[in-house]
Amino acid sequence: MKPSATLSPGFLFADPVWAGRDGVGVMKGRRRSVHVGFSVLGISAALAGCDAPSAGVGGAGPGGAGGQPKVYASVADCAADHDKATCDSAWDASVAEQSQTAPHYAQRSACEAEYGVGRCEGRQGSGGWIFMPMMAGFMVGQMMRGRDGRPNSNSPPGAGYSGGGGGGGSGGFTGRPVFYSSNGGYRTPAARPGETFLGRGVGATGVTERGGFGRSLGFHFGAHGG
Amino acid sequence: MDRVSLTPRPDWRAAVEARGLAWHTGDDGQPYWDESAYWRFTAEEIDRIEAATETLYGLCLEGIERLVGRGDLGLWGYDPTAIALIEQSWRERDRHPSLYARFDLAFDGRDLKLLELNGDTPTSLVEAAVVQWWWLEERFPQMDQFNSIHEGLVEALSGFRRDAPAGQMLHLTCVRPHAEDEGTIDYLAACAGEAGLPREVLGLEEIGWRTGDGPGRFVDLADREITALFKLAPWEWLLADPFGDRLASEVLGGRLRLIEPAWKMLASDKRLLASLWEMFPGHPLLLEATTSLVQAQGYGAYARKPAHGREGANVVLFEGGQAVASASGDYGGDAVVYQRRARLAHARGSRGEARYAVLGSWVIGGLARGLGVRESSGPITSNMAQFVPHLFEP
Repeated sequence: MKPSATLSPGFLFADPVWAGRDGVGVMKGRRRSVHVGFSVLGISAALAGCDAPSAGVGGAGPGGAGGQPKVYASVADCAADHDKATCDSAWDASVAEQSQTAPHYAQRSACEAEYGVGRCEGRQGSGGWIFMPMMAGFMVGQMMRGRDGRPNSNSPPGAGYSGGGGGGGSGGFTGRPVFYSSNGGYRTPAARPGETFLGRGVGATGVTERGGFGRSLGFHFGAHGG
Repeated sequence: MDRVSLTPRPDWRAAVEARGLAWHTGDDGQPYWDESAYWRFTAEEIDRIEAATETLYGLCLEGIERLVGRGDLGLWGYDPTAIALIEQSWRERDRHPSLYARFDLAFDGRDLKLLELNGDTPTSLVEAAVVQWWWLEERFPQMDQFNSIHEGLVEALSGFRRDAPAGQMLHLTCVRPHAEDEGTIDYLAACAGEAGLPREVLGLEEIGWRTGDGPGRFVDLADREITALFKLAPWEWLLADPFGDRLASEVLGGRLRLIEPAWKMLASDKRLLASLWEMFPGHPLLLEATTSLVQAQGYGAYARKPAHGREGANVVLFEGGQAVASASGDYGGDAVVYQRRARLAHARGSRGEARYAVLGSWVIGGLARGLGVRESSGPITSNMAQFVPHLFEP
């Protein structure tokens, strides 16, 4: 064959030497690869490249490849992406958090300065009216699980709930209130330690199961392909 | 073909490690990569080996065509799922590319005979494609070697990239930890890179099955969908795994392609040898082979091989009805094939010990692309057999 100085994919399928080869007699002279560039240097570089996107994804966290976290206006809106029971519980948890932790203002105008005109609601408190932001919607979160399979111990008490399933499939989800903002957007909650907000699409509520290959009897007595 | 002794390079371990061969020494401390000798061929012998390899590949494809067409693979113990996979991949061969296969040939200087074909998971690839190439480059640069394996791999992977959707990623996997298999898929990943394919290497145990946010699918560690997977693991093992049924349905549904494709199960089933003899009796490149013990006893000297055995495991050699040599292994319950004994190339080592050689002849993308010689001290070539480089005078 014709020796070539370099080997590129373009060369490889464009070069007519390989087309129409029918075995013996066609390739006289040099019979070996023109250039074999493989070395462990190449491997480690390749592996470094491979490892990068995987870093930190080893756990069960759904956030890595997840869709954009999403604000749900209603349980029905949420149920388009998630389990209905998950959405019901998330709504309830959001309402509870709003009433317990949302800032209280003595003046409606002070509240509206933060959250927007018409975005605050008044309630009769023990010492008169108080004003607090109304819920624009809510977000659904999921608590990362620790190595022991339970929600991380640094989650604040009550941050997660088990959706009534007793730690079953809907365990570890959270619901957090979302308010309006005076600049026209939303005020979204800050994620708590270990909490990831979910959206639609890849990573939303998906679960990846691993370890289903490499376990047949064959793999126990040797990995050699022969 | 003859064996020439020479002194290894003083730093040969470091030299071969630098070329990707970490598994150069066996568990017993003996070199697996053995450059205290090389096998020297004539250009005419290389021509014969090359032509024979392509002829044999053609015969094997005809044999598989007949096995698939006859529709009775159930008699060989394949279940309906495996049969559906084999039939699909054979019917759609253009969509299910095959990268490589290795024929093991016996050559006594006169007769060249097919011992067996490993079409699904052949190894000793890095040794043949890379390490002996560099050995020649350093020791005998004026000589030639039957070895354009690397070019063949890059060319075949380039073809795969060209035919695939833009941005197609190739995932490569093997069981881990396993220095040899991991080194082999790292090498193939490097070839894929040279061919311009995005690629990702991962362990078999790391492959995930993702559900709950769309159709179920196989994913890598970053939860990216796996749609093309090179697997250095036999099909029958993967199908027996907990994920085996899903694997089958993804492949049958056209959402996942494996390299090698499922029809390669037949290209690594040694009963194919009996089929070939049935179809091409007396072919000069074939040894008589049968699944019938009665017929085999008529051969006088024959080998009994497990249908799915690898690296010589559970092979027993018989002469006059007596077992004269055997290898241990874990394929004891497997179906068997009987094959008339062939004469292997043999020589004396530097300490006077017997050396038997088997030629591993590589088919890459359908063409004969190179040679690797494995040497053993007995007539059964096992996983302990040394890899010895070769050359020929151009």
